Amino acid sequence: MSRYIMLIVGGWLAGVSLLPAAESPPLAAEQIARLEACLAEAREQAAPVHLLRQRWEEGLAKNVDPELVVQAVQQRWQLLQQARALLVSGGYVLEAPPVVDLQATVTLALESGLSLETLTDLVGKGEGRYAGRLQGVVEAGESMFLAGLDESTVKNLMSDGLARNLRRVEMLRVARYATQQHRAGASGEQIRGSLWGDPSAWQGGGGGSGSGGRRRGWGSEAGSGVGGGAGQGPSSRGDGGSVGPAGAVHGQP
Amino acid sequence: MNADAEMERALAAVRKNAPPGFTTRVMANLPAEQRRPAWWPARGQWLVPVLAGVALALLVFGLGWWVRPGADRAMVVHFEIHAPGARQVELVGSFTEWQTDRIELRGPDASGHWTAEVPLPPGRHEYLFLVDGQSWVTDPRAEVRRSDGFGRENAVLAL
Repeated sequence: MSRYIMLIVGGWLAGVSLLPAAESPPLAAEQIARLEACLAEAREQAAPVHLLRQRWEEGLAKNVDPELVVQAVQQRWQLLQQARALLVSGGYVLEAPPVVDLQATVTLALESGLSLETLTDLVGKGEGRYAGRLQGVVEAGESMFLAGLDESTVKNLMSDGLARNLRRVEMLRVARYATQQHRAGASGEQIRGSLWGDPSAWQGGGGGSGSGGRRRGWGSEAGSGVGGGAGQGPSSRGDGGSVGPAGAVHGQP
Repeated sequence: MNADAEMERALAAVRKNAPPGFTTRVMANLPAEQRRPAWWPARGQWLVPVLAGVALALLVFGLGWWVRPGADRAMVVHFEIHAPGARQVELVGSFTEWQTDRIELRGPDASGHWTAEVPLPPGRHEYLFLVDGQSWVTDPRAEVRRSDGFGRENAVLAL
């Protein structure tokens, strides 16, 4: 008899060992109801529901405690509502397709820690227009903030980018360059100076003096004077995907 | 010269004058000459120019489509992680809708690296590596990371 028991137990253990990684703990009905309520509310208001669903899926994939998943989705919904109110106050029409994407970008920026004040100020500068450009600026700002630049510098760089009507690809290059310079020890003002051609603010390497009033691109010799090591992370091929600054900034305020 | 002269004399012997008005009537019944530019294809010779025009249009359109700025052209991204002891490494993120079993890295190579080339659309992406179906690992090469609110850090990639 004991032999049969051992066989059964052994077989069960063998079967368990062949199972894939433990699946996420199931959500209780009440938790699912709360999640669905969030999504339904977002759907009614024509908000980007996919943003909330992504949070749900992420939590499930990572086997997170169901209650934490629910809280994370609810928190993101709250931030999304803040983002929407912010954009409305800035004169943006939420239903317009570019603004739908902008809502998601602003929400993620808030979630990453950028202050409501900074984003409110920036959105106000947009004057209800150029949602696509604003989206690129906010995305770049979030990236710089996550990379460790102080919020004041990030705010100034975002404003600079918006004033210069930079495209998303260009703002991402600004973000990468600013991040590299920050990690090399450059201050916020030095970074801005090297980007927008203010020789008096740049204390870095070669090419930094004697330029007078000549406007320099930020991929120029001034930028190469400090650190400026090649970026790490996944490498990509394609437009806008290269690591490191390239080309001159263009665009008029 | 002599042969030409002899031929002319022989022809003159058998040549007959045309009746009055003959030449006029013949010319009147000929179809009107169609004036066309020298480069205009003659009747029945349209096929080649049309095909050439279509090919040129396709070429121009195709080139324009290929070099269009930004847009939704996918970019191939190289992912890599050093995990010599792993049996399986997956890439999981916003571009897989946080589903596992979608993107598996190849490896390990002789140096213990796992790699994958993944086409991704322009935009903002968050991701992690999942090692052996159990361990979530932040990309050590990621320039930008972000707390996921669950105790881990997602790598953030902007394309």
